[in-house]
Amino acid sequence: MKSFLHYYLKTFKDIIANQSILTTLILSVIFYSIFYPTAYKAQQAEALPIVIVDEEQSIVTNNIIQQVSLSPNVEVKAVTGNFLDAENMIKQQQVDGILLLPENLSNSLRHGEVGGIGLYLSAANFLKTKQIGLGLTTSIENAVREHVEKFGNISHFSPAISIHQTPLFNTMSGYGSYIFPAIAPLIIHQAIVLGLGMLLAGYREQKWRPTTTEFFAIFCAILTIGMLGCLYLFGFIYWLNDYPHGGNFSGMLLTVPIFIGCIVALGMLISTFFDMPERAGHVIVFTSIPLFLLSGTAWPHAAMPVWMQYLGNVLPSTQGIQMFIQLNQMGVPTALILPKLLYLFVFGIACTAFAYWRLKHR
Amino acid sequence: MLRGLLRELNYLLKHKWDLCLVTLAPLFIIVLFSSMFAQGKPEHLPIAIIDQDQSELSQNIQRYLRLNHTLDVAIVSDQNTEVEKLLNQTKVWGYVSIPNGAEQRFVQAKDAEISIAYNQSYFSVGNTISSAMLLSTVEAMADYAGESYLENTIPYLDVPTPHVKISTLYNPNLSYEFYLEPFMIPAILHLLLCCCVAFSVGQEFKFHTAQNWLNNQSAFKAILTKNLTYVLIFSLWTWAWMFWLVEIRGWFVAGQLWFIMLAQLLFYSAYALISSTIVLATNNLSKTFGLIAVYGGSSLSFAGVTLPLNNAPLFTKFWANIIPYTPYAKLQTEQWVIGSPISSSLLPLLILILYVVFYAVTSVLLLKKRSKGTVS
Repeated sequence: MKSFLHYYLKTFKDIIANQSILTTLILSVIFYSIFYPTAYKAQQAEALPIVIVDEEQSIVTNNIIQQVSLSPNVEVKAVTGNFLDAENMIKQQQVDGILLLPENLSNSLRHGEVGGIGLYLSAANFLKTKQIGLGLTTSIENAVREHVEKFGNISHFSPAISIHQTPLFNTMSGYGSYIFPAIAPLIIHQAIVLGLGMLLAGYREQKWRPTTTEFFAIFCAILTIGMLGCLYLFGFIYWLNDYPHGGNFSGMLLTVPIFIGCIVALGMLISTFFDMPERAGHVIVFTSIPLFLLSGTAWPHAAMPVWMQYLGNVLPSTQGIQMFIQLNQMGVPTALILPKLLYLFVFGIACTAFAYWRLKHR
Repeated sequence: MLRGLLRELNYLLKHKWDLCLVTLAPLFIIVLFSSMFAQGKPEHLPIAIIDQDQSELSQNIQRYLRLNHTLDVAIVSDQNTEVEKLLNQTKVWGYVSIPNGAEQRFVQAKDAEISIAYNQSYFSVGNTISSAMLLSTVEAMADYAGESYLENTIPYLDVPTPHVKISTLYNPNLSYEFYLEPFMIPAILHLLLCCCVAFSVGQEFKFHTAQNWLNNQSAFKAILTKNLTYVLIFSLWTWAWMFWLVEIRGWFVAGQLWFIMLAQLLFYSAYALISSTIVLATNNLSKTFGLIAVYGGSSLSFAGVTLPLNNAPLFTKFWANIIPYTPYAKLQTEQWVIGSPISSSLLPLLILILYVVFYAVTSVLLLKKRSKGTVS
């Protein structure tokens, strides 16, 4: 026990003594917890620039323009009579959409026709396309309906087709509230794999062979750091940024050690393949985005080829990311995530055994 | 010049880690993302229907939902709890709820109280199914009421809009293969490039081969040849991938191809030189990788290619303006997707040139300083 404690503390001392490992393993988590939420602070696309081509310049078009400029989703950059001007603006990326109010719009509406209002959206950025579309069509439809009701020669009864839409778990549909909880487990994952890679490959450069006690002492030291990192993100940072959190708190407390244990084991195993501590950064740094995409949070597994779905599901990062979204954001009962937990546990045990063998004998 | 390039290539051939990271790793990235987005948009996403009304209207809604390609009706149930469990297991992503008496209320022109719910913790999946469910349900209700609803829909969102005709420009099918993949591949490859260049420069000092590297050539040439080797390798990978996307997958280049390729050379050079600068300045490879991860790894989040920048906080805008990925992404969109005149893409190109020049000068100066240190 005494020697366990000795090695446990020694690991911390070694980490603190090596600035690069300290930064990677501990400080990076704190840094990223501030850095990434800042990128997504806006949460929603707003005030997207559009241009209006008003070919008619009548009361109707004036009403529509007024309605449109009230929408928070868009910002009317210019009103012009010339479509070519508008097209140039979109080509130079000064605006993301063109609203065309054609000639003869008033007449057409008066006769009960659809009017021919055109909305041209640049699909260079999907989130923008959707947001402008939403902002504009509702306000235009309102303006047109009002006008038709007032001045139209045709009246028709139509039943109210209203459907209630309820976004679940991320009720404000915030972009940051979705993406940060999805990358938080990955931040910890990468910090551990990188940090451990540097630490152990550094030891192994000196022909180091761990005793069993030493092996588990290092394991526990990194486990401690990883768990504290997880709790800091899932507790403090989610709360601070008002991301959905605490759905199933006890479930989260139960699963964090198992997830982190699995990642530590994986990190130890990977580190045995490195020939020098610098190799860790060389090989691991670029894997973050692929690992995130393979988790199926941004792009669903169902839309990937089958082999990729298997590849994604084998990775502990995928299991961890999905599990923590279920626990923290969706608040599902612990029983439902047991298969994931069991997988992580078994994966962790296998990696530990393999890493132990490689560290001792290779 | 050629000697420098050959020396670097020789080094790569003799070191299997380094060789893998400039061959297998980029190949893997390209294969991975090309296959990932090959489908273009997500289809057959599983949803549930809670039908407590069991009426003609609810049957009609079911029929329309089943016809929608985006959706796959995994279960129809009258039990909330059953559906909730599937939702919690992420076996379905959302549901349409038709409560008891919906049909009656609808024919009396009251609110039918039909609702749709979707998992927004999975943002893009949630958005996709919510619009698909909304569209099919509205159509089904309109069909039931005997009027065919005038269908113009907002793509991606698919909200029916009787009066407004909506057209999307440049990527009419709203394919993710043409939207996300062109941002993704350069974003990951430049990060990998940074790591390779940093390692290549750093190992010269770690293994005391810097003397040999600088032997008979100026610091400028040494930096140039080393960086150029990697820039060329990664550019070739990028062009191979573009060939695949444009020639084999059948996408197009709306603007000038040569301009995009020129920009890619500058873009990769900028990151390679930044990487050289950092490793020469810090004198520590591990630290360099940490800095690269922050600087190069943040490209996709900060360049405004997903969440737009116009209402972002000041820090985000500032960060977006100090990474070369932002002007590159702008230029790429203009020349690849939109087909803007060259004149409007000159500014981003100029910014890329400035990055290259600035970091080339800095890295050469740092190398000169370092080599003096090594000699003395």
